[in-house]
Amino acid sequence: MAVGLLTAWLVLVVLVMSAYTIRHWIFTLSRVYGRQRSSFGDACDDDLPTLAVLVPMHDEARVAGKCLEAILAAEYPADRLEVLAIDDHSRDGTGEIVAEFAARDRRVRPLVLAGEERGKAQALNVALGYTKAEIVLVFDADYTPGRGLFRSLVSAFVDPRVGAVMGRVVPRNASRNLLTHLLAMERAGGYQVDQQARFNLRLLPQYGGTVGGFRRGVLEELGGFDPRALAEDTELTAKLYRRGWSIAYDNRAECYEEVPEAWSARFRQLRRWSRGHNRVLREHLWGLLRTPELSFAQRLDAAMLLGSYLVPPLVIGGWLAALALFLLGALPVYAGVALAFCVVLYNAFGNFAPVYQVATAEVLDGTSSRVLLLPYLFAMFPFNAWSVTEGFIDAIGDTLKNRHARWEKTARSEAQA
Amino acid sequence: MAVASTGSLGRTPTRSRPHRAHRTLRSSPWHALESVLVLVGGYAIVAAALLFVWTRGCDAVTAFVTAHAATAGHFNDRIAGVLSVLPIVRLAPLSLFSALTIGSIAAGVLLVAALLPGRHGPLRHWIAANALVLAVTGLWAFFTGAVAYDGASFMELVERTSVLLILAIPLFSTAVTMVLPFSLFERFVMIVLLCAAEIALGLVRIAAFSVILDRAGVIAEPNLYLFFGPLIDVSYLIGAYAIAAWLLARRTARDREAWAWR
Repeated sequence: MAVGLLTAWLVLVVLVMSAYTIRHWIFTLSRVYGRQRSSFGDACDDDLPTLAVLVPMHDEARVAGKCLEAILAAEYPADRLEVLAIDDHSRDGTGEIVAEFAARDRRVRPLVLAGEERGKAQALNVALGYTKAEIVLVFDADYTPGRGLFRSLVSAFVDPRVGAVMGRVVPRNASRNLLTHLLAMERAGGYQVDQQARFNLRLLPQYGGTVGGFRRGVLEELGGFDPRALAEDTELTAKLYRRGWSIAYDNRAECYEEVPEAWSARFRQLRRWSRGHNRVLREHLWGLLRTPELSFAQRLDAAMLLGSYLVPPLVIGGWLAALALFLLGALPVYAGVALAFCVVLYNAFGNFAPVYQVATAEVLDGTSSRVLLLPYLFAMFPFNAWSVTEGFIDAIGDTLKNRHARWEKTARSEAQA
Repeated sequence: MAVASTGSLGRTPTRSRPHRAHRTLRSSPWHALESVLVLVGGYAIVAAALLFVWTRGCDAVTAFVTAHAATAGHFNDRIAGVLSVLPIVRLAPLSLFSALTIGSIAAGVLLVAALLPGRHGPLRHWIAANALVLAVTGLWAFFTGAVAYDGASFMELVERTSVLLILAIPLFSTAVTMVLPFSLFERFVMIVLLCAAEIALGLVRIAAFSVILDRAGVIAEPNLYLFFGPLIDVSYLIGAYAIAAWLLARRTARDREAWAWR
């Protein structure tokens, strides 16, 4: 009986992983050989909508200046742009930097949050009350937008069905150490291939919380961001699709971020993502599956997208089942082999990019030598799996205890430029 | 909002390389058909390798192990039509005291790894995972008095795993090379090389595991299999794929005709 149950569990794990493998294989083929879908190209200056750029910052003195400098240098008509620099309970001099920029440039509007509860979602909600712009873009403080980025992202809203847009995130500190190289590979797989393919195939590209934007009116209609959410981006994605809106992806709209350089920071980041993502899964999966505007393929994609942070605990469960079956002398050979393939193919849990997807992204990006690091992604398996599993356990705890998750900022390492 | 154009891509032939956001790769119109050929041809290669190389390799390994470890003889195993001769390792008798000692040490390592502040690197997690398996095995052996596999059945598991991995190579190789424009020749070369390397690795592992088990006893089995078994093999397949992708990336970076606008 026990052997039968453990074997069934192992087979289930392998089947789920196989489904993800096939999904991403199709994505990769679409990205490499398929016709690439692009959002609308250029919009005339006269017709560009009013734009608010929101930059929530909590203790971001090391990167705030560089980010605001890049935002102000971006090409967008000055009379239609406002930058809401949100100092969210900072104690490291971020407020002074914001004030300095506000004094220097009329487009910068400083917002200092002191009394309200801290957290990105809360900060964004407050800032949304201070703008009347049609389109809102959100940038984390460690991001540096390119000059044409705003125009590129905003032009996606030419399509009236588009409720939000997402650009491509490119790490700018990729060459710092092994971790940053691996994260750069993971990001490349996730954006260059995964997001573009989902856009090509008219599935569900994801709004990623930064380097992206939305119609202010739509967000108001949705009731703003949930301040309890740790993955407010995934939550907005789910809400938009449930209301029949679409999300555009612009692969050309690149923005440069700082990825974590320390394993401990990465561990906490993944754990937080997993905790927030699994909460969205619990709250929105059923609703998405019942959304009449979505096709069968889109509903399937929604389930797999929201389920992505369930897979690491599932694989750990598979390993424990394999160990138990081994000790009982009943480990099926096929399951051991299949599980090994699953583990190695699925190593980058952040964006869920299997090795062939990462390799393809690197070839397309032209960063040839980094592809040699592919086997190292395998080394991240227990690390990724455990951090995501801890986040999953946190999410269960949140549900059971009706607990309010506290926002934790990712540690920055870059000196202010 | 008016639209000046519906996109800057167009389909105009160009000599320059497109921006990375818009790159796609040219492939042969026969690429999909070639994949079928690679799959079928790959299985022909693998079948020949298993029948003529693997079986002889197993004979040689059995002779080696018999000479270097205390074996109880050899036996025949047949899987997927392949008949191999394998050594039967004489396992050191399981001492409950040593099982508890090993289990306790591993549990201690696990505890220390868990309590180390701020050291969340992957190496720490690998150590912890191995210690966990060792601890569980030690405690299991202490309470049940045995770990399930004997020398012959463990060798059978290891050998069958290698055979299955070799059988998976054409499928794996066809799938992962299909997403990039490798030539037919390169795809076959990859299968041949992977097959040769997997046979070599599989045979070395049978020999190494036999000698290790001969010295360490049955308690080492789960770690040997779950961490140095198929996991290592598959990661090494990924390594080979990484090298192939690297060579392709260098070529496409030089050859602008490799890129397509779509």
